[in-house]
Amino acid sequence: MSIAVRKAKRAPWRKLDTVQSYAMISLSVIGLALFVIYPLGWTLRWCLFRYSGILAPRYVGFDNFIRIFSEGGARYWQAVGNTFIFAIGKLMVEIPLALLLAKLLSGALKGRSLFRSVFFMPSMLSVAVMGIVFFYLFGSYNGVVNEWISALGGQRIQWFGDGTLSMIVLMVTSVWQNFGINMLFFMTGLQSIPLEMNEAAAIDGASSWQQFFHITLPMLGPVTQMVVLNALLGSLKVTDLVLAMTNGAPNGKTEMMMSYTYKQFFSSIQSGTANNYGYAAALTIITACILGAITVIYLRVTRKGSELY
Amino acid sequence: MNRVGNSKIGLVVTYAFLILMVIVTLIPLLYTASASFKPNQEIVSGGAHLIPKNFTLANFVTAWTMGSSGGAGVGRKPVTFADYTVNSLILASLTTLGTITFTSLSAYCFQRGNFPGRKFLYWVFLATMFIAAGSITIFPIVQFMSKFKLNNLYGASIVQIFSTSAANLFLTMGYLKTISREIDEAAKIDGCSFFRTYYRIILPLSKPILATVALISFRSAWNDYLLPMVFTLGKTYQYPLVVGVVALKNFGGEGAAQYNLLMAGTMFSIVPIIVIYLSLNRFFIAGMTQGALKG
Repeated sequence: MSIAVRKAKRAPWRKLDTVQSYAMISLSVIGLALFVIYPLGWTLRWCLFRYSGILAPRYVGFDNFIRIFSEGGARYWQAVGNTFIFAIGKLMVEIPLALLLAKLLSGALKGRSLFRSVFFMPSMLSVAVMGIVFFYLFGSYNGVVNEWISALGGQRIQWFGDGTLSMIVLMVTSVWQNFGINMLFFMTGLQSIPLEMNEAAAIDGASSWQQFFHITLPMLGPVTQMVVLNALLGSLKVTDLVLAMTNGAPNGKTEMMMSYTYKQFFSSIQSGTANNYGYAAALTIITACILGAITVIYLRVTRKGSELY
Repeated sequence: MNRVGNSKIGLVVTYAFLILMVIVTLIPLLYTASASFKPNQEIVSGGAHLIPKNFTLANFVTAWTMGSSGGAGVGRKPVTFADYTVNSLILASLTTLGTITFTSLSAYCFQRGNFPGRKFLYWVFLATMFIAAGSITIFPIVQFMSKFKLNNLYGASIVQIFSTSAANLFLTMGYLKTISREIDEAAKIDGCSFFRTYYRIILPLSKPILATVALISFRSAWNDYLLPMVFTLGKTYQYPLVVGVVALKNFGGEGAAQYNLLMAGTMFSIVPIIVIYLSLNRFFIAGMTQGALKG
């Protein structure tokens, strides 16, 4: 009955309303077309050309893609490898740390909201600027970290002279910046688990660790899936941090797939070599495909995993 | 309930770990603050002391009034961190204003509208927001904008507004869902049009969520690096703070860097955000988690 009343009350949708809706949304649609759809179309078109911006563009079919998958693309694949090492390495620390802190802060702990605010603060700051701060902290001669090491009697380390060490500094910076936001996601997830389940398990004699692994973790499944996917894609897209901190040094060992692709577009400014926008566009498509494939594979695998429970 | 929390030893261990993490979180920021008050001599000669031996405010004064040697242009007064700060404020304010305007309009149209093609448009919006590849499609955008002489700070702001994340739209739509439809039905019966209902009723009612969206977009515009860098390439006088700080670091390199100015510049860029965050952190936390979780 109440539905009938509501239906009767509902005012009619008028023609003027339609015109107004289109007018209200038109600018957003134009913006989307210009800044999202147009660049995609541009990329799809020019990846099939040799296009330097100076000489007339020449259609070359799939030559740009062939170059990526032959020796000419070795630098790119090195960057892809670096990106995965970076992402997996930092997530192995970041996600468990975030989960642990979320668990510790989910109880009725005193100072809980203060801890939460402090841990989330790094996520608020500029990635590029924090890259510079950590570059200073890990400086070879006067860096604070080296000062600690030498105070403890160790040898000063040339952090940015070695590929592996530079990568570790990048990972440390990124974990420092992102554990807080992932902790917040986990805290939201933990709130949705009914307390009764843990209480029942405790009555049956389960220890806190048993409760955590057999109740909390499986119940957190969907949240964990979202957090990990979000963090994984974010890490694979790392650009600003690398550009600000190492810029790929030493010798391309910290170059990442996004920063490498970006540099192919702007190479005449960076290194004085001629551009091939077509090749850069092809790299963009391959990079986008890698990100898309990772998303699909990840969702498949985690779904299989959750069916086991 | 929580046995680790109940036992005394467990509680001590928990607090010890949490406090250790607080120290780890704060140390990079404390050292940045400390270095910004030290003369360059003292930074370069090393030492892990947090309290400056020769406390000075000169770094801030130099950065603010004279700029870095990296920023000086020929025949033009040197570009200072005061300029960078003004540029950052312009960029972040324009982006914030644009983002809340367009997010609120589209959220209202999608949530309350009934026009033909609404579902299709909504689907297009979501799909494109997810496939937006960010930094690697920046070149065609800047090339296109330079045709309209918009390869500058204002162009960067326009791109930031329209490449906003789907999270803002979800957040605002979720909030509009909680505003009773009876209110707009009543307005309609009183003769309000679709737009008038928005302007008179829904917009004022959605102020709290728009404040959250404003905070989120101000922060991300202020912190952005690659997009404003590419758009202001070669125009040092248009650099926002983040771009200016990175340029100063690249100019100095690791050897003879002006660490004192670098750290003072870093303070100009991070302190405003920390102050805003500390005073309004509830809104940040709620906004950033809800938007992302719904996405």
